[in-house]
Amino acid sequence: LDRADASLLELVDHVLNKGVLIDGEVMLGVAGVDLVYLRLSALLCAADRVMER
Amino acid sequence: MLYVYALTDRNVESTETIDCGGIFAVIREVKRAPQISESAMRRHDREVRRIAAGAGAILPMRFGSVAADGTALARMVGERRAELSLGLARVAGCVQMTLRVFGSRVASTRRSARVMEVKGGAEYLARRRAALAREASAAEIAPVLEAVAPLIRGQIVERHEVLGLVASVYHLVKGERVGAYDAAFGGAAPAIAPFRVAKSGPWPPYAFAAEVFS
Repeated sequence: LDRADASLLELVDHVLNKGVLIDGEVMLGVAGVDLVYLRLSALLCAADRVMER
Repeated sequence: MLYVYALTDRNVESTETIDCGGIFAVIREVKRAPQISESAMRRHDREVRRIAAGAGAILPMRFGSVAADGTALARMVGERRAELSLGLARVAGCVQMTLRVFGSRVASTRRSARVMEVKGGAEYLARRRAALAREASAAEIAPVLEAVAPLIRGQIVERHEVLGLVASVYHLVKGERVGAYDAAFGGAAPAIAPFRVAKSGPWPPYAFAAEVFS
């Protein structure tokens, strides 16, 4: 995992896991978002090793 | 179908916008909802940042948000106008800084164990209240939080149960105070050992947008 990967993980957390989320007229049009996020926290831990360098 | 990037307080130049009665939805017409990919997420973030630069206040939508058409979108915004207006007012002129707190879960567990050493019911409830309050904070990085406190307009703390990652802290900071925030963070970060903290940002206020309906 390099620094670019760590940056990507930050992007994933902000773009996929945050932002206004409204049920109803506006909906998430992507599949598997929850599955992606389930793995995110663990990956962020790996990112910590990169940030120590 | 409309892909919705963000809601803003004003019409942003060089964007396709739908006026939903004073709240503006920045959209793009698409044939289908986007699939998750690194390039698609980076495109979304780039566009949100561009919109943020031209707006006084922005609530980014979550990646992949689509509406059937302008009528449906305007109805959705109209039904939630009060919350969205408050959300926009809160983030006006602000960016988000993100802190990831890393450390040993053993250290965190020891802290919790101390909390539960109680003698009776009343003391237990008092300790439990204190523990709940602490769970909504990030005591591990107290020196950092104290240093940046005068510079922030809002704070969200998320505790994590994952080995190594203790908490995520999201700060709302006026755009012109980011330099001072960075300096305050840099001065205090060494004081939080054995925990460590990684800072990223400025971001559009993604976490504070997520909080609008919570």
